[in-house]
Amino acid sequence: MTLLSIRDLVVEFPTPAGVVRAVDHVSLELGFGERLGVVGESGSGKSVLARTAMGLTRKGPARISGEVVIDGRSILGLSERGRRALWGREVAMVFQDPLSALHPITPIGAQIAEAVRRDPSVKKEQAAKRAVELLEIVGIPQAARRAKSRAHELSGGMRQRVAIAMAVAGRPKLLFADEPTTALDVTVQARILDLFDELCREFGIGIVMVSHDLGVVGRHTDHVAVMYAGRIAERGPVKAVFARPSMRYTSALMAAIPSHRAERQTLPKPIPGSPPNLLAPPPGCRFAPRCAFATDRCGTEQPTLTELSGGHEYACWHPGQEAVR
Amino acid sequence: MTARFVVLRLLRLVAVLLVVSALCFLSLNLLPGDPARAILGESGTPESVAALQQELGLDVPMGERYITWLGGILQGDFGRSYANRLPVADIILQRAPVTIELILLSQLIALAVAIPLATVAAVKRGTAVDRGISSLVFLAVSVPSFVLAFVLIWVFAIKLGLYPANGFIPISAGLGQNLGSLLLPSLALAAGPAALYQRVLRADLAETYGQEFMNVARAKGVSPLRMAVRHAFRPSLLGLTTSLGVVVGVLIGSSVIIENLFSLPGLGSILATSVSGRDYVVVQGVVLVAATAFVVINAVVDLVYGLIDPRLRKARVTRRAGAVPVA
Ligand SMILES: Nc1ncnc2c1ncn2[C@@H]1O[C@H](COP(=O)(O)OP(=O)(O)OP(=O)(O)O)[C@@H](O)[C@H]1O
Ligand code: SF4
Ligand SMILES: [Mg+2]
Repeated sequence: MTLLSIRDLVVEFPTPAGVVRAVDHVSLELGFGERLGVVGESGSGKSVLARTAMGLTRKGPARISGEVVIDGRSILGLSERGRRALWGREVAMVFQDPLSALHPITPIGAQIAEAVRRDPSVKKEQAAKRAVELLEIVGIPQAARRAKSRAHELSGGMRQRVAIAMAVAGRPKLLFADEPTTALDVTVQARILDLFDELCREFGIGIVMVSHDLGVVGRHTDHVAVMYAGRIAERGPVKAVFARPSMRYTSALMAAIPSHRAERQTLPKPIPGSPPNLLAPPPGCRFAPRCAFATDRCGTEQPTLTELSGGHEYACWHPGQEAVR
Repeated sequence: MTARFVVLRLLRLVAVLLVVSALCFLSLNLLPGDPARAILGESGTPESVAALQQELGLDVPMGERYITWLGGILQGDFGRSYANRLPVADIILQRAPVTIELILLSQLIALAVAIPLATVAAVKRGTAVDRGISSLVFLAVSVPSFVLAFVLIWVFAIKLGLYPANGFIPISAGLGQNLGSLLLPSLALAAGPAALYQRVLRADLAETYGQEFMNVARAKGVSPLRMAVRHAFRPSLLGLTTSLGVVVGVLIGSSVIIENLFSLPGLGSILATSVSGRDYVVVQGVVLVAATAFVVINAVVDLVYGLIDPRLRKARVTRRAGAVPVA
């Protein structure tokens, strides 16, 4: 059964300088209890993709086409009211920047309790208790006391955990987590990722985890989608993609993961150049200006997704594992 | 609040009051016109005027008079009216409740109108609704309170005969009657400030609505009404609280005209009468009380703001330095 299905999604922002196409014909699928990692450099459209898939992107400032189906309901076809019925209960999001995502004045416990109370059968006191439990679950020490704190009194890592507690408070079926572990040290990061794994296993929650860190995503997801300049560069089961990265941008990302294995003591190689200007992207492969394997064809013709093995697809004219010649 | 904060505030209050009282005293005493001559009118002979001057203590030098006056105030004695020899403190105590009631009622009306309008405009920012409210507000800002007062009197009292244009009904005759007699003057005093409040609050709310935590609230499934009331409102009160403090000062001035137009026995009307009658002791007393009220109210507003939004305890003071009163 499919929990989330994104088909041919295009999101454009008309700006005075021109139209920014932040998401460019993206299709993705996710089943119940599955974890999907969305990876890409800054500005590749990960957050816009997640927000639009959740139905949060407003139609005024953005032009949206394509289809998003969550558990059988076409979310883009729903009214704001219809979406609101799903938000917080069926689908929730951990926002990227936890400081700006938390209310500056309301104590964090009350913010979490508000999410718990999306279920109208929950009483006020129960919700407050549940909020403290959730804070304990995400590993906040002295949760009962901390629940009364305000966001600016917490450390960055704690805020991120509060944001996660708030998102899972309504027991959603589908959770979008936008860079949920960036501000965390390695121990807390592992704990949060384990928590996500547990949510998937025990409650069948589907998780879309957005990250710029392929290494983190690799260890805690089932599927991975690599985005470049709004497009899917490569996607498939994590094991398959890690075993045979094929689009050259994926290969470059892989090469940039610091290796902990002794026999491969290579320094991570940063990808030269910077992502394209989305107002005027290169006509062919978006990665061509930075690619060591680019040919004339790459500069003129857009590669389409080609299947390599069961579900593993890449968009590249000259696939291969090496990132540099 | 720290003790240091309170002490600083008190020192500031004393300094402001000293300056205000000195300026007031100086300017009144340098104005042409003499209280004794004003009281005696045409019938006054040079001898009788001089006698009255001596009786009122006006023959002593100005500096000495100021010191005596200030010393009296420290003991609660504001002096006696030149015109009718009543204690100024009694006059103020008797009239202050009318003015306070008028200002309170008018600002409650102003807030009751401005807060919903600001919220609707901020939620629908950039739409025709927002622009419509803006034009309405612009109209309200451009009409001076006394013009509005004339219009209200003309329509409600003269044309429709619904309302006694003149006359204050005290609370002892019933709260409804009392509030009714203050309704038109309150409306006249509410329009300008309401427009200011709407503009300031709408701007702050619009800024708040652009913040990520509002997107988070939306993604949590919070209803638009709850978003406005529980999420957006409190972080958006910086400008509104600041304006409230400024408006109080403006209103003390406007009430002089409005109280006269509606014949309300408040501080504003006695101020006008006393100025034209050269009854300087009364003018000085009223101005001093008004200045004290202004400074105290602003200190209270600061404290209240610190309670509303503990993050920004210091921000208000900085922001106010650049604030311009519009009313
Ligand atoms: N409301 C908007 N109006 C115009 N452009 C936008 C808007 N929102 C996003 N964009 C643009 O869309 C592109 C993708 O942005 P997005 O936030 O999805 O990137 P991202 O992959 O999440 O990056 P990061 O890792 O930095 O979070 C960026 O170029 C951004 O400038
Ligand atoms: S299509 Fe060409 S430019 Fe793009 S990644 Fe593949 S080889 Fe490089
Ligand atoms: Mg992002």
